[in-house]
Amino acid sequence: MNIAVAFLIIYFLAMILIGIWAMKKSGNDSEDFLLAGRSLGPAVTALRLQSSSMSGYMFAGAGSLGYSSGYFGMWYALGDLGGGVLNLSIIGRRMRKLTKILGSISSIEYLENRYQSSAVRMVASILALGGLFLYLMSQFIAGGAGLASVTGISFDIALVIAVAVIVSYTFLGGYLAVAYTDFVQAIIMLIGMVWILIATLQAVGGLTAGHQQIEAINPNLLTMFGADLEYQNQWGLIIGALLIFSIGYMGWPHVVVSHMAMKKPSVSRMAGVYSTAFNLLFIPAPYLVGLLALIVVPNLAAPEQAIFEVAKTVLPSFAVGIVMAAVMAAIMSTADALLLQASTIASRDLVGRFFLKEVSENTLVKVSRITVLVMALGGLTMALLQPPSVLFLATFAATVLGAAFAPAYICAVWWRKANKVGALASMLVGSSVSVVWKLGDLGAVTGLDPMLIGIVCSTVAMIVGSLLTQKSHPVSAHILDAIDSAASVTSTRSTRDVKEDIDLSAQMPEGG
Amino acid sequence: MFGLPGFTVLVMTVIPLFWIIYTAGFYFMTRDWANADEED
Repeated sequence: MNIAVAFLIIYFLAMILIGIWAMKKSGNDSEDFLLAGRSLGPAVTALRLQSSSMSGYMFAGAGSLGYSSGYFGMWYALGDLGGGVLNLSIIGRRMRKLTKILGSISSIEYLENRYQSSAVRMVASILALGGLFLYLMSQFIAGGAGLASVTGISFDIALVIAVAVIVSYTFLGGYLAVAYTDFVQAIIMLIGMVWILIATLQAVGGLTAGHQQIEAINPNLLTMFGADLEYQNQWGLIIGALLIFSIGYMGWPHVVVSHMAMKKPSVSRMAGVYSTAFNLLFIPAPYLVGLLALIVVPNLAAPEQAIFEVAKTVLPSFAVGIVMAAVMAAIMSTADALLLQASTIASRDLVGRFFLKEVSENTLVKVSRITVLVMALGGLTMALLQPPSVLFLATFAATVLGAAFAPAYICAVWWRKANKVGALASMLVGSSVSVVWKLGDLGAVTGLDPMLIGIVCSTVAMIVGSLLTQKSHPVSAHILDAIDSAASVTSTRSTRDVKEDIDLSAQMPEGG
Repeated sequence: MFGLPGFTVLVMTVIPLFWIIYTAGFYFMTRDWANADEED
C-alpha cells in the first residue's frame, strides 16, 4: 500500500466517524436532520458554504483554464472571491429569519411559503432536482476517476467506494454530518492547495521568474484576454465569467440552505469575513498553479491533469497523498451537499408535499434517508455508464440552477412586490433561456455568457410578471409582515416590552 | 510588477481590494444585527 492510499483510507474513515458522531448528536425530527437543528456557527457556516460550492472543478477545471488560457481564467476566480460574502450579506440574515418565521425546513419549501404557491414548489422541485442530479452525477464520476488515478484500481470499483463513503455519512448524520465534514474538507482543500502553490513557486524560482518564463512561451497568457487574445473586448463573456461564481451562487439550493442552518441570523456577519479570508487564500491558487504548470510539466495532452501532474513533480510522495485527499475533499464536499439537498427535495418537497401529506416527522426523516440511497444508486448507475462530458454536465447544471433561482431567492427577501407569478415566470424563463443558450452554444455567436443572459432574462421576468399581476395576485399581509420582520435589525420584542411597560404604568393608580 | 502587464496588475489588485473593502464594510456596517437575534 503506498502512502497516498494510506492517507485516503484515514481520510475516508474520519469522514465516516464524523457521520456516526453526527447521528448520535442529531435528534430525530426533520429540522435536526435537514438543518442540523439550526445550530451552526460562523466558521462552519462559511466553510460549509464555500466547500459545497467548490467542486472538483477547482482542481481539474481551474487548473486546466490556467494552463490553456492563462490569466483570463482569473476572471472566474475574481468573481468567486466575493461569492460567499455577497451571498451572506445579501440574503443570509434575511433568509435565515424568514425561513424561521415561515417554518420552512427546505430551501424549496421556503419558496412555496414565501410565494404562497404550491405550483412554485412543484416547478422549483423539478428544476432543482434535475440540476442537482446532473451535478451530483458529475461529482460521483470525478470522485471515482480521482480515486482510480491514486490507487490504480479500476474506475468502476473506485466509483463504488467513493459513492459508498459519501452516502454513508450523509445517510447517517444528515445536514450536521454534511456541515462538519464540509468544514474539515475545506481545511484539507486549503492545506493541499497552498502546499502545491508554494512548492510550485519554489520550483519555478518565484512568481516574477515564473511570469518571465511564461512570457517566453506566450506573452498573451499574462494578459486577461486569453492565449490568442480571443477574449479582448468580449465583455459579455468576461462579465459572465465574473458573475457565474459570485451572483450565481445565490441561486444554488444546496448552497443557500447554509443560511437556514445558522444558529442566529447575525452569524452571517462573521461568516462573511471567514468566507472572504478562505477565498483569498484558496481560489486564485489553482488557476496560478495551472498557469505555472506550463513550465513544470509542458506539453500536457490533458490540461485537466495539470495540477495533479505538478503535484507529483514538485511535492514529496507523502504530500501527494494529502493533496489527493484535498482533491477528494473538494469533490465529496460538493457531492454530499448535492445528495442531501436532492434527496430532501425528492422526499419532502415532492413525495411528502404532493403524495404523502399525512405523515409524521419521523416518517419524513426515514423517507429522506431512503431517498439518499435511491438517489445515490441512481447516480451511481448512470455514472457507471459514463455520460460523454462530465465537465459540461457540471457547468450546465450550475448555470441553469443559478439562472433559474437567483432572482427568486434575492427578491423573496428584498422585494415586497415579488409574487408567485413573477417567481414562476422567473424560474421558467431563466432555466429555459440558459438551457437554450448553453445547448445552442449561443455564447460563441452573441458574445454573451449563458449565465449572464439567463440571470438578466430571469430578473426581467420576475419584475414584469410581478408588476403586471399585483392586483390579481397580491402578496398577502402575513407575508409582507414576515418580510418586514426579516428585514428589521431592531428587536421587536424589546419594543413590545417597552410598550407593555408603558401600558402597565398607565394602569397604575395615581401617586402609586 | 511581478513581470505582469499593467492592466493585469490593475485588475488583479482592484477587484480583490474591492471584495476586501466590501467584506470589511459589511462587517462594520452590520454591528446592530445582533440586536434582533434575541427574538429568534
